Amino acid sequence: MQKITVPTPTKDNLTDQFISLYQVLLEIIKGNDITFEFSRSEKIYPLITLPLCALIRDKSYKYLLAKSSVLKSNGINFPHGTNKIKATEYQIPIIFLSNKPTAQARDQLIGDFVEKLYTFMTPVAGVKDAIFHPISELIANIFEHSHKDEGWAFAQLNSGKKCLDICIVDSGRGLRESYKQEKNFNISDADAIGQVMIGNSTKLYNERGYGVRSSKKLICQGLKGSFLIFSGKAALIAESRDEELIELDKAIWNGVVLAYRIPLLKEPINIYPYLE
Amino acid sequence: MNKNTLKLAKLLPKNILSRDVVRSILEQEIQAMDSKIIFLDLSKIEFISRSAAHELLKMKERFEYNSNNKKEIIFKDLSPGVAAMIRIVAANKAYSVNREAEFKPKRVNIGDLVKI
Repeated sequence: MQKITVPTPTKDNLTDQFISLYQVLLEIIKGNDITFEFSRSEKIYPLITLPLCALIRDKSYKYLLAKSSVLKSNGINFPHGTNKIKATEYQIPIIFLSNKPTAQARDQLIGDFVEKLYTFMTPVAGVKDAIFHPISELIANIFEHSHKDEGWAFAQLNSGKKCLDICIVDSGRGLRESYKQEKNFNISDADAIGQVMIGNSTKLYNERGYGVRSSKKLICQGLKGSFLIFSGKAALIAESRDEELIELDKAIWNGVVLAYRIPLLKEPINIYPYLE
Repeated sequence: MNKNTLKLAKLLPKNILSRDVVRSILEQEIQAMDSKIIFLDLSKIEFISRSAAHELLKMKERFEYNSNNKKEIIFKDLSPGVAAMIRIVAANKAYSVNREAEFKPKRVNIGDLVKI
């Protein structure tokens, strides 16, 4: 058995959270009969926790939790997630998304998840739209592009409870493979992320392909947050107008990991100037 | 309710998020209506996603150009947010901008960020 300790990020930002995830994925390549040890995790970072939930489900990896781990809380539903949100539960749960029983039920679950996140914000004009837009677009991509009819979403309050960290994960075919299969593009993972960011849809319609791009614009410019997309051997981290496209040597993610951090919104916001 | 008016809030969640919901539920419902002019009442719809708004507009076009079962679809009682989303998507359907020049990230290797 190989134990992989899930590291706590050095700093409380998306880049360091991503590095922690990358370190775990590197260890997975080296080992077999893997057990994740979450005992050292003091805070919960969705960008680290949620991809590991997907691996626990897909690869039947084992896991160990410390006695006092917050992940043990019933409200979080670690590691398999829930398809029902309890309004009375304080904790934000991991949600497991699927086409079953219906797309309408899935929409209802996403709606309930957003309502839960909204309870941590100040209820002023436009805030609910600001939460809804990225979540709905990024989750829609799972069911329209990944070729896998399931995915996960999770969120936690972090950074002294002043920010919301949100993560959405699928373990489908990934971006590079989508462009290869749908458009016959032979491009790298990094270039596939570039295609997403210029809005080149894998679908034939020129009028599509705005979901990820407009979400990133809203998060980074409108909400003053930060954004990450990770697929295959590449990741993009964007904060304000600074963007780094990171190429990885080894660790890969089969599918797409999206994560973003937004401050708890207190002022009215109009999201529509950020959309295209 | 008028026979040519369809109240979306009675049919769909108050937040319309996916294309599937527009295609699988709404389109079939309109198909079954006899009237040639259908008013889609969007009152009590709080949010529509970009994807769902795009699918709604595509559905509208499909009905308007369908020679066998032509129907005119008219949206009514939209909230300001829902109206804004539909207008943005409709404008983009009519003319989408060239976006290529805007993405110029700094390219780095993971080794630049961390020594593992």
